[in-house]
Amino acid sequence: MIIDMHSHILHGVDDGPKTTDESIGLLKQAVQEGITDIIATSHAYHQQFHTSVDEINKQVSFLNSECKKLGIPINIFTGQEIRINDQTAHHLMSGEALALAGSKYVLIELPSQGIPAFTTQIIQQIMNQNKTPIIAHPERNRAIVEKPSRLGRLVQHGALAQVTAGSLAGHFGKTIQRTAIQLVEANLVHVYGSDVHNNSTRPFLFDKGLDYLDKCKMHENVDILLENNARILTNQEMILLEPNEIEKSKWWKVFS
Amino acid sequence: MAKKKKVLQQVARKLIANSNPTSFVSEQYRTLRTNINFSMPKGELQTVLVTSSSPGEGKSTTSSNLAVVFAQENKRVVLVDADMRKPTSHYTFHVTNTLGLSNLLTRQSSIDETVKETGIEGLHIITSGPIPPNPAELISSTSMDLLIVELKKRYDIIVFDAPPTLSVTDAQILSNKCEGTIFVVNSKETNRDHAKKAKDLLVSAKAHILGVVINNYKLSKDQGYYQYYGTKE
Repeated sequence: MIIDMHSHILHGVDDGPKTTDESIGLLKQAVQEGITDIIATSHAYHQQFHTSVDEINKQVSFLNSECKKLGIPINIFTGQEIRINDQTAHHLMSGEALALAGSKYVLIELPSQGIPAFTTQIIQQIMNQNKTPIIAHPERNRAIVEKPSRLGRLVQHGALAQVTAGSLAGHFGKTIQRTAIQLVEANLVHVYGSDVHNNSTRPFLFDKGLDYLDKCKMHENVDILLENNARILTNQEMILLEPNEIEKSKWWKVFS
Repeated sequence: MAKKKKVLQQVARKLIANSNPTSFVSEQYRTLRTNINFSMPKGELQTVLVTSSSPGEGKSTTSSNLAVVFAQENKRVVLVDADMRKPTSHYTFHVTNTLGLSNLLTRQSSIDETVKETGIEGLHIITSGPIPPNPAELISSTSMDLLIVELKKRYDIIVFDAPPTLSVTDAQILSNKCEGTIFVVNSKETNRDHAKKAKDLLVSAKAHILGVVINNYKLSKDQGYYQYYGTKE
């Protein structure tokens, strides 16, 4: 069972696919990548995009029945990628925001420029509801790229983090790829998602990312990431390893 | 030039007393247990605090292994992760850290909810819980005193894993509340003056220092006598 826990496959709601056909195309692509279960996490409470819970439920059940009709062997689950604001915990409590596949795990997104000062409070508030926040693509956050140990602070407070397949595959450039590897090495990321938007500019790269980890001889990490993904669906506790210190890159190690 | 293999900076913390109980190291932990038992002949020693001068000297390793060997002696043991700044015990024992000491001290949960099984018979654990903004105040609060009284009724031995002494004041406060303090020294790393300073701090807090654990000590090769009696290398 291979699970993709971060994807934008619902059409016409955010910067994902525009039409139903594109959505179906993405799901076919997912099957080719070996994915058996996928969680649809459209943007929510983002400045430009907001997808309501009703819309997500409607589209997910529609896509599920459509896949059955067309014979695409994939299950789709509900979820949201929630951009954090001071109301996030409140939205989760009242059911205006969704956890991943009905589990206790919640996918949250930080602004790409930095880490807002209230992030730890939000994490605390979500944890008080017996839910666990998962920070989406920390390797693409500018503050964390600058200083990866900043994510360590959030993880120490009880948050988890998701690494994006495309970042590991080098789709977002060398710097982000390096940061992603650093975070995996330091045990600071716990789950693995594709963050797919479309087939051309933001494809799955699900296998490619895992291949890169294998190439870096991190087979154990691959197993743990995929196992943790599976545990979202079954709503189990994840395998967590103690975070390591991140070594500061030295200029004389440029060639190593 | 051949690329040098990177050495892991931090090897995963191991419960050697549980995974390999006949090893030489486990035997040393058992010696430590015996020494603690004899240091208080009347047997009134119930609370033990483990601390060191600076981070990374082996507090958590020592305290968790010590708790394991006490449990092997058929005692009811609870390990409390009182390091609410950089907690690690939930990684060592693979338990969740959603409820823990900080919840207990702020009266958000009961002891029954918070204490977790470890998979080792007789050993329970209280993890640190969510990191509070004021660990020192929580530790010095009256709810900490009440917690210690309550735990003493339920368990034979309570082992506290405290933060380092020199960097924060938590260990000083807690050592005053505990009946015995064990000081961990890393034989290669610890600065002599730092160790002395930390000891002075503990003495000024009226801590009862039971002794010092020398960690990471390298034995010379000819000390073959010290392998486990009755086993071959």
